[in-house]
Amino acid sequence: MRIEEMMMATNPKQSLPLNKISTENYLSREFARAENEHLWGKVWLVAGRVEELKEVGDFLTFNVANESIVVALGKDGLVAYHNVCPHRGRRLAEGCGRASQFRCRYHGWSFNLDGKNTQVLDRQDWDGALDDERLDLWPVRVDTWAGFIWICMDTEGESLAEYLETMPEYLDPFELEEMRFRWKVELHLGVNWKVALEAFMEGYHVAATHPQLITVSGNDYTQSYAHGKHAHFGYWKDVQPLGTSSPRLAGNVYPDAREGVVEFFRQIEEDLNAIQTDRDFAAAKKIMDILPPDVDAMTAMGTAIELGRQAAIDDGTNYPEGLTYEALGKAGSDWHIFPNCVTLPYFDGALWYRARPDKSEPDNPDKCLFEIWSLKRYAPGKEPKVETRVITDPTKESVCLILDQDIANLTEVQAGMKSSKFAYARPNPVQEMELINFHKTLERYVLGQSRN
Amino acid sequence: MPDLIFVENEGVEVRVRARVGDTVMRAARVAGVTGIVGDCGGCMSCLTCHCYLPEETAQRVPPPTGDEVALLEDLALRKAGSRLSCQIVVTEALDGATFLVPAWQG
Ligand code: FES
Ligand SMILES: [Fe+2]
Repeated sequence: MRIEEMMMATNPKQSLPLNKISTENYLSREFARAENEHLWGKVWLVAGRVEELKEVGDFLTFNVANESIVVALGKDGLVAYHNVCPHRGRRLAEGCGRASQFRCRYHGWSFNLDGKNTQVLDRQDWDGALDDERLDLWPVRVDTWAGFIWICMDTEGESLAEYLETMPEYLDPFELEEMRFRWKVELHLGVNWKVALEAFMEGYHVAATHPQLITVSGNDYTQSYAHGKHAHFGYWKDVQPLGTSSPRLAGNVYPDAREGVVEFFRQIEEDLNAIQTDRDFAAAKKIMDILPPDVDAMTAMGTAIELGRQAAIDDGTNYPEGLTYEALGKAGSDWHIFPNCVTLPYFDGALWYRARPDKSEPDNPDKCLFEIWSLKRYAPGKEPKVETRVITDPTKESVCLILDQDIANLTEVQAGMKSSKFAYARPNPVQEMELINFHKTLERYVLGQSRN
Repeated sequence: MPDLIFVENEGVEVRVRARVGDTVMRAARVAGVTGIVGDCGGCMSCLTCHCYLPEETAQRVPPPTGDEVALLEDLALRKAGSRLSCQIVVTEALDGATFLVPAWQG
């Protein structure tokens, strides 16, 4: 062996350090408590959708960690307050509804939509002692983006626009504010809120978790990148049209490209019922009639998408004008919006996930509330009235095939991480950057600095 | 005993025989007028007894107190003629008077 070769053998090429995610982030009660103290009160959070508050007096409540926030439509726009009566601490509002004022059911103290205390029963009993005391509701910052109502309990600090960083550049073209609920599911899960969310923060799991999907979803290899606190992944490398089989599989499952494309839209419609829509599936089926059997895969996919676009326009729904193919490509497929939301947007539909600790036991790292919202672009006034489906035992109740497959991993991960041998996760540096960036950012909020 | 006429939001007219000295809110509740709630029992803290008095009715009752005026300010559905019906005492002068019920209370 020549000397250079020996050098090479003993001095292998410098590799990148391994990214590690400590199990403490998912399993430790102290960490959960620290999140409740240092995270939720400092960040901007999705409290609901703008269209949920239509008339002056409409309100909704949003609970996270030990806090409850009430958001209402006041005479001059949205207002938000800590949902607590300054007298003895009773929560003021519950759920959602319509009210001209917030009246505490305990002793009748009342507050108007401006948060001002308007009534203290028998106020003279305090003999002036309340005069210098703050009796108004504690304000919370509120703003909107992408059709969502965002709140921040920290009365100072970054505006929502600053908080979102460059993300709107990527997501604004989808016009999520034009979408409305198609369906809503609320899952009560025995896992950490991050375990639930992270099942939707990478495309690396698709081949193993959703094997049926990769027969028609093109190349399932993903790349992922951080954008400040937030991150995304997409299919940018060796791109293959939808309807073709993953290069991980031998051969193409559907030699007739049209059948592959239709099968892709069928799976998304029937097994996910989100992102792409029933309108897209119906439109895609038309390629069987208008394209020849030997059409190439790119034309088959392009025609199906174009027909879907046309169907949306014919339906009166319209197409987001700024959403060019370039904008679609730039956005990628999936965004993590720090800390607790994930979205997968398309031109006429989107999936939106929101996770948080269970409200009955926010310090318990083994419990969470996980919401899945399917949004869709509807022609004006055509949106359905949607009730939230609450699922407390997902082993007994199905959401849909693809999401059931994802959800089946969750309790196994939460339990598996408790193994004495498992101290940290080893996320994929190319495909799982959303997770890596998530924990780095999270640790900065919760611990003051990231562990790595 | 005077008769009061409530016009519910859907347009239904309810004629209520009221006792002099009672309040308009209680008279409406006893008669089951839809839309007059009166959660707080009349201590002016719930604002769920809100109603509108046409000019002709308003002339037959004393004006609201300063406290009531201040509370009415906060009602999302406030308009001219807004009153809290728990603050209006029934008198013979109210016989045949009309009260309009708002679209929602709270
Ligand atoms: S009954 Fe409550 S304010 Fe009139
Ligand atoms: Fe998945």
